This record gives sequence, C-alpha cells and structure tokens, in this order.
Amino acid sequence: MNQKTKDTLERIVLPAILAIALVAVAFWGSEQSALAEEYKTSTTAMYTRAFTELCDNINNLETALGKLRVTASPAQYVLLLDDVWRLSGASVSLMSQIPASHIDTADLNSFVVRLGDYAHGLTKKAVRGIPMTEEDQAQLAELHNACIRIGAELNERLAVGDIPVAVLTNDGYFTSEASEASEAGQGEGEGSGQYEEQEGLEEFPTLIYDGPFSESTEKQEAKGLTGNPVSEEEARTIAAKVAGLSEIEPQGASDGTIPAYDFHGTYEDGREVDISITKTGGHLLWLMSSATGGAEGVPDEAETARFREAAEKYLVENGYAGMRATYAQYYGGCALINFAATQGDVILYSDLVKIWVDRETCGVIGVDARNYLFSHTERTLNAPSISMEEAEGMLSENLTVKDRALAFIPITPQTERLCYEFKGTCGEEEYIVYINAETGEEEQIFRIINTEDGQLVM
Amino acid sequence: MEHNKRKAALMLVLVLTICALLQSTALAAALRVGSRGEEVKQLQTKLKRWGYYTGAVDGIFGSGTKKAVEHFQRKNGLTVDGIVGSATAKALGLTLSGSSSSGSSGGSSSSSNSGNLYLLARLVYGEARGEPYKGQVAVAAVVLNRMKSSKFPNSMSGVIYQSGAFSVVSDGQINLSPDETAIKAARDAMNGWDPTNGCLYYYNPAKTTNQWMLSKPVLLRIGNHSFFRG
Repeated sequence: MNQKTKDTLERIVLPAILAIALVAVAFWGSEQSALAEEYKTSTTAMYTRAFTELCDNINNLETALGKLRVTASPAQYVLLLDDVWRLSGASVSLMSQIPASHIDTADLNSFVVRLGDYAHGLTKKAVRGIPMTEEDQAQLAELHNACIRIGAELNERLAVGDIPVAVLTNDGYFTSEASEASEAGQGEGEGSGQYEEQEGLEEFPTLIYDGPFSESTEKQEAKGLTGNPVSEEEARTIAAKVAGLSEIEPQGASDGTIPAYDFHGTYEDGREVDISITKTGGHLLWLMSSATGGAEGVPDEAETARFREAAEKYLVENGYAGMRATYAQYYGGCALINFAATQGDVILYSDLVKIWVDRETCGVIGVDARNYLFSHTERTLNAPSISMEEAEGMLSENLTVKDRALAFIPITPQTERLCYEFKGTCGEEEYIVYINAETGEEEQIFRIINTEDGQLVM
Repeated sequence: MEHNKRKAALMLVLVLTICALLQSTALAAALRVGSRGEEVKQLQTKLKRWGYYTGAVDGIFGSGTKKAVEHFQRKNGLTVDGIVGSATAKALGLTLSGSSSSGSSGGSSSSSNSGNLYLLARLVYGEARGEPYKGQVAVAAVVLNRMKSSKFPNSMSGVIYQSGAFSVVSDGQINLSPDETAIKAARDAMNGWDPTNGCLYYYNPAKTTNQWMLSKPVLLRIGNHSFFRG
C-alpha cells in the first residue's frame, strides 16, 4: 500500500464509514425509543381500561346491593343476587390486571370475593324457597354501605382526570386511609418502603356465612387430628418406620394449618423421601418419594387391581381401615389412587387419603392424609327419609344408571349432606349424580372425563 | 505504529457498531433439513399433535419433517418451502432462538389441565430451579393456595401474572422452558402435596428488602426461601 492510499483510507474512508454508522445508530435509537413509547402507551391504556372498568363494576355492585334492599319481588331478588355474583367475579379478574401490588389489593380482593360468594349463597337459598332472614337484611345493608364508601373513593380518583398508573403501582393505593401515608411494599426484591402496620381491615365489614371463601373456612381447624402431642424424637421414630429407613434426618417443623415435624431421608438407590408427622397424635401427614420407573398411560385391569391391593394393604397396616378406592391417575411411573373413608355403607368423600404406588415395585411411594386429618370424625347417621328407589325415580330419563351408593358429600367446606350417589351414562359420557337423601333434591352433578392419565372428575 | 493503533481502534468501533445494529434486527435462525436439537423436537411435537407429522420425535430435521412442514405451510397459506422461518414459526407458535424475545413460548395456549400444569412448571422453573425438590413443590403449592384464598385471583394465570406477585414474570424468566423436575414438582403440587402447610407468601431473605414481608412470622424455611401465611 503506498502512502497516498493509506492517507485516503485514514482521512476519508474510515471516518466516513464511522459517520454513517453513527447516523444509523442514532436512527435506530430513535426508532427504539418511539417503539418503547408506543408500548408504554398501550400498556398504560390497558391498565387504565382495567382500572376504569373496576370502578364501573364497584359502582354497579353498589347499585345492585341498593336495589336488593328495596325489592319485594322474589324473581327480582334472585336476578339482582346473580348480578352481584357476576360483578364480583369480573371485579376480581380486573383487580389482577391493574399494576397495584398484590399485597395492597389483598383486602379489597377478599371483600369482593366474599361479597360474591355470599350473594351466591343467598341465591341458592332463594331457589330452595328459603326466605331472607333479618340477619341477611342487616348484612346486605352493611355491605351496601361499605360499597358506597369504596365506590366513592374510587370515583374521586377517577374524577381527578388521568389514572395514576404509577400511583397504583407503588403508593399503597388500595390500602386503607390510615396507612396511605406509609409506603407499602412492592414486589419481592424491589424498592424499600417504610413499613407501618396496615390497619385497613376494619374498613371492610366481616361477613358471617358459610361458603368456600368465608373467613371461618379459612380459619378452619383439623377435626381428625386426635391424640396427644408428640415430641420431635417420637415423631422421628414414626417417620423412620413409615419410610422403612433406619436413619432419617429432622428438617424442622412447619406450623401451618396442621402443625407438623418434617423429616428427610435417602433410600439405598438414591431416591429421596420427605415425610411430615403431625405434632398432635404423631399421624403421618405426608410421605413423598419418587418412582423407580417412568411408566405412562392407563394400565390393564389386572395391573390396576394389583396397585389397588398394594395401596389397600398399606392403608390397613397404617391404621386406616375400611377405606374405599374412588378414582385413580397414572403418571410419571406411579399410580395415584384416591381412597375415601366409609362409615357402615356410607362413603365419606371429605375424608380422603391419596396413595401413590410405584408401578414397577408396587411399593407405596407417596401418602397424603391431609384431607382425612382435616375432616375425619364419626358422623351422625340418620336413616334417609326417602328410599334409594324413590331417589332413582327422580333422576333424569337421559341417565342410564350403572352403580348406586350412599355417601356424605361436601357442599361447602363446613357442611356436607347425605346423598344417594348414582353413576350412570348419557350417550357416550359418564356422569355421577347426587340426590339428597332427606329432601330428594339434586345436589351435585359430576362428569367423568377419561384422559390418558386416568379419570378426572369435573 | 501510531497509525496502526488508531486504525485498529477505528476498526474496533466500527465492528462494535455493526454488531449492535445486527443484534437489534436479529433475524430468527431458521430450521431446515439438517437442523437438530430441542427446537426441532418442539417443532415435531407440535406437528405431530396437529396431525401433520407421523414420524418419531427425535430432534432431527429429516425429509419426513420437511414434508410435514410443507403440508403445514400449504394448509396455512404460507410460502411452501419446507423451511421454518419466522413466519412459519409464528404460525406454529414456536419461538426460535435468536428471534427477539417478544411473544411467550408456545405450548401454554390451551386452558386445559395440561396447559395449567405447564404454566405452573414454568413458574417453578423460573422461581426455584436450583432449590431442593421440596422447595420447588412448595413454590407451586403457594400458587395453588393463593387460588383457594379470597385475597387472590381464583385462576392460575390470574395468580401467576398478578402485578408484582412474582419477579420472574417481570423479568421474562417465566418464558423459559421448564425441566422435568419443575414439571414433576408442579404435578405433585397439583395432586395435593403442600410442603408449606397452607402458606400464601414466600421470599428470599438474602434478596428481599420488602419490610412488610420481613415483618411477618416465618412458618418454615426450605432451601433459600422463607414461607409465611400472611
């Protein structure tokens, strides 16, 4: 290369390329920032829509509750309750779409969920012909007032003009007035707010009713937890015995809904096992290990029977007598079989024990007795007022009955009813229908869905 | 020497600039005959599920896979070339490596049980990979406990995508493909195993600065996570 070309290259060509590149980068940068602005606008629009719709819904809830207090027509009453239920569901879904922290929205969310749950309960009562009580009236009035207050606050914010998305995100917008001054927490690992005890709960009235989301359900105590407190050492002996291991290491305790001691062990082939033993009575709460094989799909009948027998034997050996296998799933090398307790001829569907059986060795590799420990007690059995034949006569003509039984089925977490269980088919589909053994009402319909993993009940 | 140094510096700047430009427009790497690997497997699984492909899901793009892709392209009004480029990938709901990380990965569109299972597994993988197995089940159990609580949305996607609820949703890790362990953990939790005994929250004490979380009594610790009821 001679000196002249070298000079040209250095003085003109390279700087020129660099200049072009810079222009290109600048262009690209402005494109990117325009794009970011566009995304920001569309996200803000979505947040704004969700928030505005939430406000609308709360206002509509307030109106429906107001109307409920003055209606005298039973039909109108049911339609309005239905409205409350629908609006509550929609509000909950909208609340999860706004950018407020889940910690801040928790209380309002609870209130709206319970409101809907309560209204749905009233609908069920109404369609049974049970009239509204004075307590219901008082409860509705209280709910109406709470809704007026919440609605007014939301409307005020809306009236200010644009929706403060940033405000929603991090100033504890949905916590009560009392704690509004304090910065509420943000997501995990971000920000650092000064924390003050939030005293927003009294802003929302307490609802006394029996539904899946009621406070009493969330604070429910385990009924089947019998016996005296055991020490960690005693629990360890029990854990080692159920796991079939000589050595097992303690892993502290978990003081949740059912307080328990946790243990961990390793089998000779390297598979691990986790066990929880309840602090009261030393019952086995959990046992979880893994399968040795990886078989998938539903096995043939002979095999299914073998798994069931293995599980039944295990249950009897561990003090669960008279359990009846209900349905099963097959995945990841194991068979998961659900067992329900029985009392006489009556199946107790709330008292469930799940057993996982290894498909290769037929050994039990998992136990879940939580539901059983939660609800197992001796039930008071009254003779049914209607006979099984009478109940069968009340079924739809479309159902061809294949199997019959008497069972206690859970209606809400705290109530259960004695029902006749009819398993049958309608065309190709399988259904289970429950008829109340006292009143003859149809309490529940399930549809059985056969999947490649086994049966599911919907 | 001086000149050479300057020239090298200029060239370096130039190369870097061009790289930056290229990356910004990053073209999706196409799958074609001869391609191998996890993405081909995903492609074959999808084609098989939809009935376009009957061969083995082996992760090798052979003539059988090419035919299936062509069949798919014909049916969906795409250019029939047997190559999975960005348009075909989009129609298939596949995310090719190298393509910009906009959309979520495929396979979670169904609202069925298996869709929920996969979504939960992705959350577990993002939040708790590297934790002990029990800790992974525990994270999944917290999601399921939230679904049952009045304080939270009542659907799985509602709980997982709730604003600020999980950091992996904001940083995009939720879109990573879960491993077998995460899927098994999600499944065990969905079948009822709850190592947390009813907890609704957890945090990593080494990472969180959230005073509200830190002020709550911890019910149990598994691996790096502390769990509490709230």
